[in-house]
Amino acid sequence: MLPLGSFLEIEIISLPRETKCASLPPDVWRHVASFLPKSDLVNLALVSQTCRAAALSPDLFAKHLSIQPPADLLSTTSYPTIYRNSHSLRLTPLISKVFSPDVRKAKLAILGSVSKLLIMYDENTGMVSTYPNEWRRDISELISKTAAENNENEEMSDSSSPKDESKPFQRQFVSERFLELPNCEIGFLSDAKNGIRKTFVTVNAETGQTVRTMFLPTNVGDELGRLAFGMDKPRRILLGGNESQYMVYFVGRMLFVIRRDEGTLVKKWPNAEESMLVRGETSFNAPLITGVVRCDGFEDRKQYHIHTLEGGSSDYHFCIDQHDTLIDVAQSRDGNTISKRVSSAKKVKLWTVVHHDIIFHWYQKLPLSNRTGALEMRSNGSQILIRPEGGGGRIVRINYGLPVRVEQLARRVQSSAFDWARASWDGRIVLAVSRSSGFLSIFDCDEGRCLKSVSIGDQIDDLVLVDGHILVALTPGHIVECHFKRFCGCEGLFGERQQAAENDSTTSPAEASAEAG
Amino acid sequence: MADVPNQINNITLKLKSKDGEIFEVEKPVAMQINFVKGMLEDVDEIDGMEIPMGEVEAAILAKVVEYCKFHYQQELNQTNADEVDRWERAFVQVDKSTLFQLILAANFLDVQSLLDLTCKTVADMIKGKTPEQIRAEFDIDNDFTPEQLEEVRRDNAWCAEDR
Repeated sequence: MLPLGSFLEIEIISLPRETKCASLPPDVWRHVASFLPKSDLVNLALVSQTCRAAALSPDLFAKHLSIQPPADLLSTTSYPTIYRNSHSLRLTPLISKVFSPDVRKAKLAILGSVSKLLIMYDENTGMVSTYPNEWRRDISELISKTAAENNENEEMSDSSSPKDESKPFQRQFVSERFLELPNCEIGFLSDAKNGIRKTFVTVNAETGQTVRTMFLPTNVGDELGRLAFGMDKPRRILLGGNESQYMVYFVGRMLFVIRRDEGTLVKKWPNAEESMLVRGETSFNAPLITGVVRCDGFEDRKQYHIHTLEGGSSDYHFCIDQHDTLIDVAQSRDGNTISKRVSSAKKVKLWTVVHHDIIFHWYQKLPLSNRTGALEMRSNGSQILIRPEGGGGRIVRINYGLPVRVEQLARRVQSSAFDWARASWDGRIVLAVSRSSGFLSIFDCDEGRCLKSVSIGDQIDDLVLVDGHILVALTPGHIVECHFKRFCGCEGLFGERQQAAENDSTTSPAEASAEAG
Repeated sequence: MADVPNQINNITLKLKSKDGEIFEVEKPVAMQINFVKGMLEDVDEIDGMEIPMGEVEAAILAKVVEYCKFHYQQELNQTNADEVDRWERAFVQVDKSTLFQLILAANFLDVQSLLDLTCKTVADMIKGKTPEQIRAEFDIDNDFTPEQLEEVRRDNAWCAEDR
């Protein structure tokens, strides 16, 4: 008889848990597919939906460019549908150069865009104009000379300031007083002709006609211990409220909140600073202000409460250390997500509170400087974008608490210093632009990768995102439309005008206007 | 496991895995990880700083560090291509679970050469296999309906043609 145990030994082995390939992200599958020959791509496409998307990626078409999709396939909806379903974020931007303004005559800056209209300002002539629907108005009709004179010490101290009334305003001065409004309107902040009362002139963006002139409250009262009426000037006007029903502006350190339609005063906040404003989500190019944070102060901690412009007070409050400084606060459209950025000893901390009634807390300590730019919240707080303002900043995207360094990814494509970025398409993509090199990259927010990089071919003087999916740039000599949703059936900005412009590409807007005049 | 030559560099960085393990790595080696490189460009002082490596666990981070060390030394010593190839083939002789985690780590940490190596390894495993064999090899569910499968076959017919 065999000794017990010598005949049968059973060993229980715990097998390592396999990571399913299906859990690999689509961009990794695309990379795997890039190493496969054409014949294996067909088999890969039949494995699963994800593998199919990888096998049909445009990169592989480019690699195997000798095998173009056949015309009959392109003529049906089949290929575009595959393309759209699988790679809706990998659409090749369509770049169109629509006309050539003579840059020796025009020094154009984009003020904004309303309803697919570009609002531009020519610093040489002092004219505000739109494109494609071309109307032109002298800026002095909209912003009085008095405004410039009163502000010259604050904002126009350099030699090029328009102290001489024959010189038009500088672009920065105009853009700070310009506001995009709902209902196809734009507005300009100004002094009244007597130089005492402050006005807000609303203009129909399609016709260029003045809709109304509104007198703005500017009396800061006795709280500052002086007669301030007419002494402090409104500066930087912004939209406010979740429905953009308010406008907010500063007079000195006092924040005024008025109704956008009536101009009646709703609330004044003394000792308000830019960092005290709560930024909300907006579909406009300009930030939307939804509230203010007020510091109540503690001995060793600073306690902040959030107050909405509607008059309510949020239950949420937060504390920061006494030696830290609040940089900015952003709030999602539904009000449930709040992010705050605090600088502390060369570091920036970012907290995000999701559903603060339930209390879910993220915390990120980012190795960033506080020069990075504005905190911007997208997609009901699921994504937070810190984008550069005015150059030099990094683009940082935080997706459900996980930072994705967009700029870092961009280096795979080209070493470019991005100095402009916007989130678009419901926060699904980030457009990042290096103005000096005219280089545009589109990043997928879901996967954190670069989808496309294109060169506009020249340095970019100014640019704006129109209608959420059209990037319009001014280059020396051209207005360039970069339309990156062309496969989705969206109309371009210029439409049939493009062909006409190509036929008559030498006609500048100034010349066109002169001809019309 | 492939041998990795010793490093001579006094500046070390602390890379912290998801499960909290700290890897002290020479700075030139760590700089091959673009994720780390980008972070370092943002900070003035790195002394004592623990750099979080996101979701990368210690076992995988150890492999990434091993790979970076080898390639740093390979660049210094001008190792011949055959030897590099041998080392890399030995490096990716791991179970599939580890291989996929290495891919995810290389993708997240932005180590392009490691991503290329691991993805190419997966591609080599796919070559010559039928769709059913690929599913079995990588434990992938077939999420196509029969109609979709037919549509893919139809759409891809042109790709199989000899043009």
